[in-house]
Amino acid sequence: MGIVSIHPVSIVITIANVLILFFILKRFLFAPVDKILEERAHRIVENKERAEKAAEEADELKRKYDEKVAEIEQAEKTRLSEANKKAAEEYDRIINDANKRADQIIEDAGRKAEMEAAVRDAEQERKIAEIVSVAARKLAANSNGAETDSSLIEEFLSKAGEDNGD
Amino acid sequence: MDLGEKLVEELGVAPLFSIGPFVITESIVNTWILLVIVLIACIFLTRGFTVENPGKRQLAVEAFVTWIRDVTKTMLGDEAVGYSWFTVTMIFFIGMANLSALIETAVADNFTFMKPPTKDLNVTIALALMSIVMVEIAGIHRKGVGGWLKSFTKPIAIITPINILEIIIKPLSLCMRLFGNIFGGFIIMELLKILVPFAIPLPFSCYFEIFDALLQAYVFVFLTSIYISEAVE
Repeated sequence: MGIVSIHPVSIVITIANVLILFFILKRFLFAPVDKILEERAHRIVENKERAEKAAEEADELKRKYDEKVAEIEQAEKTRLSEANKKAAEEYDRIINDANKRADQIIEDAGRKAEMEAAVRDAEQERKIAEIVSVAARKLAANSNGAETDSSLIEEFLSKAGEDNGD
Repeated sequence: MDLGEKLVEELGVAPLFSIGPFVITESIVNTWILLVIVLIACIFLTRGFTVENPGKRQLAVEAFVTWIRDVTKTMLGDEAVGYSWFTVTMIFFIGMANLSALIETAVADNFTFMKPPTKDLNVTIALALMSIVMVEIAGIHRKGVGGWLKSFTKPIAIITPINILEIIIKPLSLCMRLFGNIFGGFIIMELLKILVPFAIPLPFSCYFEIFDALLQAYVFVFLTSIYISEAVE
């Protein structure tokens, strides 16, 4: 056999060999690698979906949480303003009561003072009446002329003045 | 034995044995051995693959498979991407056949273990034939028989004979280029080994047996890809 002799059997067998190589590569190299790559791609997509879902859920939870916090804050505010209102009412009520009582006390004091003044006036009248009666008695007992009369009147007047001056 | 005789003997493809009327040559036996090696390598390399936490071996295999597919698909273009299985197989076949020169060992008078099968013209003829058949199949599949026949008259009717000649020229150039390169590289290496038996042949060996081997596989597949993508245009 020379260097460049054509050998049909070799050509046919080589074509068969190339086809065999194709099946070997397909079955034992590309198929297992593809299987793994596909599975990995599938798993990556799955993981991505799962992550997206989790993020969505987290957002939903956060939204709910924010809502709840806002609700609580609102309730707290309402409660606080109500308490303030109540406190203001209570304050007003107490002040009013105090004012009323103070007025009452002042009124009572006024009335008492009036009553005391009346009592004092009555006492004075009584004393004057007493002095007058005393003076009249003395006058009646002495009856020594006009001089005595005038001195007695002076005495009475000075006594009355003394009593009034108390 | 003078140099000429030695070369002729080295280049000759010795018939090993016959199955009935069919003579089996050493390049065929070497191809079979290579197929068995590839089969074992594939089984070993893809064993115990996991979806998560792949090992270094798995990552390397995955990267290689993805890469070789991308390379062949890029060469074919979007239209002809469906033929990448063919070009991948071709680049594998020619690559492993050319690289087998690295472990070439003479074991008997008529049998050299791992003598590159691509050094046998019959093997490169077979590859070129498959290539041109694939190109024409791609054309017929795309345009239908009528459209395919009509495509020979394009761009103008007068070049129809040239277009028909191309059916022969394309595979002939593919087959001769591959055969010639491996053949030529082999001759240069043999001459160098005879002239300087020590150290000097090593870098040349790296060039011819690794770089040129892969380059020729690439060129063959690249041209086939161009022919296919032209056919489906």
